[in-house]
Amino acid sequence: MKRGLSRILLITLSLSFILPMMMVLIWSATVSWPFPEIFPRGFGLRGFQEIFRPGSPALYSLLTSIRISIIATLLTLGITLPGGKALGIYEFPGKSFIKIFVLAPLIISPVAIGMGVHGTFIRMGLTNTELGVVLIHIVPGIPYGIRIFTNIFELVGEDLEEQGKVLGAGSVQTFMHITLPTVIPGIISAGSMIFIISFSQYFLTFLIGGGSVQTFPLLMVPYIQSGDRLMAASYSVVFIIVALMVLLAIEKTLRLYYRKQSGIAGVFYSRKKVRS
Amino acid sequence: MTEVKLQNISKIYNGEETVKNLNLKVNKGEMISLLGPSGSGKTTTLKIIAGLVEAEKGRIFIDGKSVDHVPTQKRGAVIVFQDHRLFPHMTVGGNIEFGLRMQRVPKEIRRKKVQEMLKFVGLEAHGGKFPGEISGGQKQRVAIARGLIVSPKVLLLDEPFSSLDQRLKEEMRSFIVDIQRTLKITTILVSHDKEDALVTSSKIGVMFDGELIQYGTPEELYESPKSLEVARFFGEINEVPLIKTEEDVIHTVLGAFRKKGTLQGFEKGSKLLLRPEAVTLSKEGNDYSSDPGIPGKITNRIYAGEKTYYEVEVEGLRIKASVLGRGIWQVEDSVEIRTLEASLIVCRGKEADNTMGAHNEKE
Ligand SMILES: Nc1ncnc2c1ncn2[C@@H]1O[C@H](COP(=O)(O)OP(=O)(O)OP(=O)(O)O)[C@@H](O)[C@H]1O
Ligand SMILES: [Mg+2]
Repeated sequence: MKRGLSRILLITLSLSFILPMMMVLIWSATVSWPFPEIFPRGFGLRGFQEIFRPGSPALYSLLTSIRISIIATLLTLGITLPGGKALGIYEFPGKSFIKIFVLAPLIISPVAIGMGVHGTFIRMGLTNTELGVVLIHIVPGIPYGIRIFTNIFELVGEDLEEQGKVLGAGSVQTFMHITLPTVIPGIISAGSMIFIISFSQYFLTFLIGGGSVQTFPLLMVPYIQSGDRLMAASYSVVFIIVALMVLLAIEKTLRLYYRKQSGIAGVFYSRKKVRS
Repeated sequence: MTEVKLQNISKIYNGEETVKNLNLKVNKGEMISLLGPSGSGKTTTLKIIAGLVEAEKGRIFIDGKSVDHVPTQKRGAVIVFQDHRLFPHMTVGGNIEFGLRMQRVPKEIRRKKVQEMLKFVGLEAHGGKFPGEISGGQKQRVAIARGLIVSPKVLLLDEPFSSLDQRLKEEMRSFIVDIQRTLKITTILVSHDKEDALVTSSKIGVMFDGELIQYGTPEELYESPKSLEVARFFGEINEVPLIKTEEDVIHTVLGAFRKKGTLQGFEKGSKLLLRPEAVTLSKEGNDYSSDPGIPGKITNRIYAGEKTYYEVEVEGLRIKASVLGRGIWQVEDSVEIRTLEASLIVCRGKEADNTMGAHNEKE
């Protein structure tokens, strides 16, 4: 009984992901597909040709998007990793208040936050700049980063860092060789989430970038709104593929770093050598 | 070789004094133990020496120089923790190599030293494994090897045997004693097992509630403990019930003793203690000794292989006794108790303990 139920749930869940995705995929490869007809009127790659044609704004904005999101992700990680560590390990007055406070961007709508920051950004000359967009993209990622790192540091504690110091590692060495590798799984999951949040950001980019910072979603959304299903679907497919590729690259890089940390001895005394 | 000195060290956690005005000196190349029950501040003391925890009061000297402002990584005091704390993302070899890597020792030398160290601790075959793939005893050896490879000035061992079974424990104990004698590293071992301390150390300090109650050689601690608490820590003991004290004679339930030898130190408020093995039992009416025995009755007998433990009722009081091998007495037997006078231990009572603490403070 129970197994049957969980299987049904699993299938429903998968279908709810896969079906819309299939629709988008099919749409992106049609020539046209007027409403009441069941089958598209032929297939083609017009949408992709449009996106990848030389001089297309799409390619340029794709690069802008990747650049902005990667920088925003790095900055957010740079803030939330130490922040999560402090919340996860150390005791200090006002800790429980801060724990709730950093979740604010989840609770308060980004519209409100964006509006609140807008005035300040104008005064600082950050509106209509890529830097401004990067900075505002940090905000929605913070709760996720803090949450994940707080939980991880609550789990791993300070024990290994203490051991590292005792063995002669300075602060930077401790961080690079011990802290970072132990929280790599957290960096991967937090980093992926933060990247996706930034990469798919429309409203905050529009508000702060004012249209002069053209990210990929900024080009994509008008097609969806105007009902150009073919172009919207093609943009979506490119969006998904690029996002996946960047995530994969992030994960691979971090895993490589992790493996390198096993120490040269790990390379020299490889398992094969031990067995032989 | 290095000398370590702690001077009036105090540490407060959440308003409570976890370490109280601790004074301790470890001579060059010496191995000592800190013994104490759980929560008595032993680990905290080690962390203070290594600089992982900052003391509110007091100073630490390594080789006569104050290290209060020297950060952990430059103190040269290595802690080997009870829970090993191996780096999970590094191989066994990588773990051992870590300290050398931090000192930026060239790769070739690192390789050679790691290999030597692996051999030294008998783990040549395991250098490429990850910590999750070796046994508890092996992890312990990796942790020790990882500490030794940086040639620490001071080695701090935090309950290194507590997670091992009896056989492995004995093996590791002699392993550590061997290393310590060979390398002559100044070592402080922390434990709550009296045997760890007695077997390995030239001096033992007993801690209760953050206070170093007594510090001396194993013989001193076992034979002349300063308090009943300390004596109890080193095994079962009888507090001999006193009847009255005269000018030069102490009258007790177990007979009268003259105030001479060790008993000279007996004063008002003192306690008289007796180890079970210093109580002899003999047949009632036995007259081999001119010294009259005290009649008693066996109320309990526990056979434990190398020893047999008895409880004897004397004038309504229970006295513990033990004999080597299989004791011939059974429950309900009537016996005579005699005391080896030279084995009586005199220690101060509770109030006297406090004055001793005050005395420490002045030092
Ligand atoms: N980081 C800390 N914050 C607050 N209290 C602490 C901290 N570390 C230790 N304590 C407290 O200090 C006291 C002594 O702890 P410590 O770890 O030094 O004891 P220990 O003698 O090593 O005990 P055990 O034999 O159980 O390891 C304990 O009551 C403990 O709760
Ligand atoms: Mg401890």
